[in-house]
Amino acid sequence: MLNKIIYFFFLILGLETLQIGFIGGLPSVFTGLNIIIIALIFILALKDFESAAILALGAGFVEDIYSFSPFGLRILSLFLTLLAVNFLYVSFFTNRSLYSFLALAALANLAYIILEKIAGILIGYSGGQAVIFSGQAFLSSAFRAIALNAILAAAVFYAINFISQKFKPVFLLRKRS
Amino acid sequence: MAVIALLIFLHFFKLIGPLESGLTYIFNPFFSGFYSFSTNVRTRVDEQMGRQELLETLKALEIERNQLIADNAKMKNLENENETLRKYLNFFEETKYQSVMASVVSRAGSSSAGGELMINKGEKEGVASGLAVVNSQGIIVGKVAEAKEHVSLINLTTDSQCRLAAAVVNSDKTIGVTGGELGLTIKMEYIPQTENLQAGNIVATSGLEKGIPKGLVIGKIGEVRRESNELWQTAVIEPLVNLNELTIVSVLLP
Repeated sequence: MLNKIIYFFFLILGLETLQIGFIGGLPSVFTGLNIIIIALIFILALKDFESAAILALGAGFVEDIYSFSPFGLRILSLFLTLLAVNFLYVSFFTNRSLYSFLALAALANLAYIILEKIAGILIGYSGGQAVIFSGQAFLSSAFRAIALNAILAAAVFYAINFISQKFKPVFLLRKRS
Repeated sequence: MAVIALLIFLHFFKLIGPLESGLTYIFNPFFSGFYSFSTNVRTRVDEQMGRQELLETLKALEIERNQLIADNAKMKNLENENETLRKYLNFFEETKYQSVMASVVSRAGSSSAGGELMINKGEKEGVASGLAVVNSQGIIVGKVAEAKEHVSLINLTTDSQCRLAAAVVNSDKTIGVTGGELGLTIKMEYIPQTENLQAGNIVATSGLEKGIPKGLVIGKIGEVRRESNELWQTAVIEPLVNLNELTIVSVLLP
């Protein structure tokens, strides 16, 4: 149990340092990158739903501490995104191919953007913006974020493929008699 | 869902305050370290994209010019004009302002133009909403929008949410209100048509706003927009510092 707590503490510390500290300082083009969502997808695929749920709650909690939107918005959005990703992963994208992960990353990001806005509306917070789902700036930043996260997911997929066998296809060969 | 509801409940009743403080205490050095690193990366990339040598010279001259402008504007606002130039070079030591130095943890908020910064000092260190944030040269770079226990949100001067009572440092002492425009420049509004403004005039805080001292340089007028049928004229102000390169700032305490 203690090992698990330490493992998740350092995992969340590392991921949030990259998300809040590192990506926060990059040019605005890259601010749509969401390492936490990509990590959730791969932990869901490599480990299990429980581990991904712990990460979603822990990372969401840290993001809420550092966020100036109402407390709970990030945890709720991340957890609901995880539920959506899990549903898609179990029901549609089961073959662990690159295309599955690209689709999951794009849909998860879209779900997160929408859920964050809906949760914001439900608790009466719109981030200081009067118009929620319209405007060219919002749409272009959403599409840019989705594309960036899909690229990141592809990079992570190839990196995992390079060091492990977990995503490599398995073929059953019939022996010739 | 029950866990989320419990966390929100515990947060609102401040029962997990020590846990949140502990986490920010542990996480802040990592965040500010990595922010500083990525800012350096961004700055390097920017520099490489242009002519590096020219940029370096330009940067050195820009720092020197800003220092001189800040000193000059402050001199004009000080009661005692006989103080030596040496006193102005050490901004924080020589002025009566009390300040809290803070590291930038991240760029935050909903603004896509990056008009908001998060710093690692909050209410516990005396930071409060509405206080002025300056860089090492004493040039105002923003205003505290919101303060939590150990972190605060800063609206940069180029952010539309950052409104400052300002005065043009000229003989007329024009009074107006500045606000960010598109995250790039600053617009000064509500200036009477009778005022004679010119490009190159220095704009500083007027001191009419609570928590913001008088004479903090905001920027330099780049363009004056005057329409004969309008009641007011507006001026476009160019910031004197590159707000994207800020990694350490100071919050001026009242």
